[in-house]
Amino acid sequence: MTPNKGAPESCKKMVVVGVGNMLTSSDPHTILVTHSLGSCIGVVAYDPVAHVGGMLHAMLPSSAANHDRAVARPFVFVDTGLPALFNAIYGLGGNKDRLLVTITGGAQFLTRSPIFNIGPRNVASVTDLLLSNGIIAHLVECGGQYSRTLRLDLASGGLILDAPGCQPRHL
Amino acid sequence: MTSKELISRVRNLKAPSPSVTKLITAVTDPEADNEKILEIIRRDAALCAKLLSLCNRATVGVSSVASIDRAVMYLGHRAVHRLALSIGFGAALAPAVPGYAMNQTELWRHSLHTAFISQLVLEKSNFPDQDASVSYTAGLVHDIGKLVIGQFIDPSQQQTILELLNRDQCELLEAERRIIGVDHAEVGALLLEKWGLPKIIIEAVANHHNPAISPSPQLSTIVHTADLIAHQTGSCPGIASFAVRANEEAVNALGIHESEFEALIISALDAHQLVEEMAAAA
Ligand SMILES: [Fe+2]
Ligand SMILES: [Fe+2]
Repeated sequence: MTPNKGAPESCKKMVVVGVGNMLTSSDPHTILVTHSLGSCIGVVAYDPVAHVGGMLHAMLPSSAANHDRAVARPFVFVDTGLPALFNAIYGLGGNKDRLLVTITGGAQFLTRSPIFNIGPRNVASVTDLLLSNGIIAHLVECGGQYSRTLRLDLASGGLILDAPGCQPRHL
Repeated sequence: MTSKELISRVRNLKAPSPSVTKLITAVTDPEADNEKILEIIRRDAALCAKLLSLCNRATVGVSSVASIDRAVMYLGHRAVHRLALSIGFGAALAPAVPGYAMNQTELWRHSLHTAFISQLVLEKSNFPDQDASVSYTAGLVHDIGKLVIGQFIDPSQQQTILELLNRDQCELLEAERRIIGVDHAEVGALLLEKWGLPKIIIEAVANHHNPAISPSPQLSTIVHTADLIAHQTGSCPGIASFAVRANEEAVNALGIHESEFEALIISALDAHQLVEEMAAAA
């Protein structure tokens, strides 16, 4: 059921992108994986021609109130993490016009108090920032009341999404 | 099934050792002093050994920590209590919980994370009468009921819970009640009662999703808020983990300004490292 190009998944190297972190790669043997995407947001960008891509797991929509923190850990915030993701991919030879961008995560509680509404705010922050840079997400799989695990196969750009209690599925 | 029936049929749950129960009773007792608490830890050789090995990981490069008194010198009383309590519940909370689709140590990490965040919430709150170690303990055991219910949910019931949620926006607790007859907060409290934990911890656990009706509303609110923050900072294991409600009124009573909440969330992210160290050692 896995239409992987290149080596089978078992021969590949799983590299974990932690909460508030970002990784890029051009190694076709690498699979980037991030766990526990709850209200956090996962952004993947992949160039299917250059076969380079990256994954961001950001936690908060804006670094405005946490300037020092954003300098030390830019990937915690969407507004500093997202530009860093794209720049790192360009650095590996990725081309803006070819990038396929996927957004996942942004789960929300059943109540929408401002403090506990980070999920939807994260989604809005990513979409706005992409739009203001002329980028339209290829795929958006956000919201809901569950956490997600996301995997990116660097060889093919294939994405697999996992939610607790559900079968893994290809995006 | 009633909670009592459920508890009587539960298998393989590792109750904390008597010294850990004593320890919790001591930290929740405002009269108990640090020396008395340390004496409880000193008398449990297994607990001491684990605690010292954890301390030595935490203080790499400083010196080797050979005794509990040294550990207190390096880390302080509160940190030593925290370590002892965490070790005490590790065996119970670390196994996988297939009923909720949680892998090994997933519930354990969430529990440790919520415990740390409970202390952070307390520090920022205007609840000066609450105690840090009590908040930590309540956070640590808040979801212990999922261990019980998790043993009775088969894959088809798990799918029913997910359907209830997707179709009716049903809360996780409500779904648990419809399918099993009780929810994880209620059954967790009953288990802790059976294990002889202090009343205030039991009340906090029973009401961690509904702090407004708790006989210990402040402690319940601390755990309630810490749990929600844990979910927002990458500790949200198991099915339908966001299918819960935030009680805004209760959270507002903490007196934490919206801008301070963001700082709290960032500190909660930093707590992951401590959680990983503890989870690796337990
Ligand atoms: Fe809970
Ligand atoms: Fe929880």
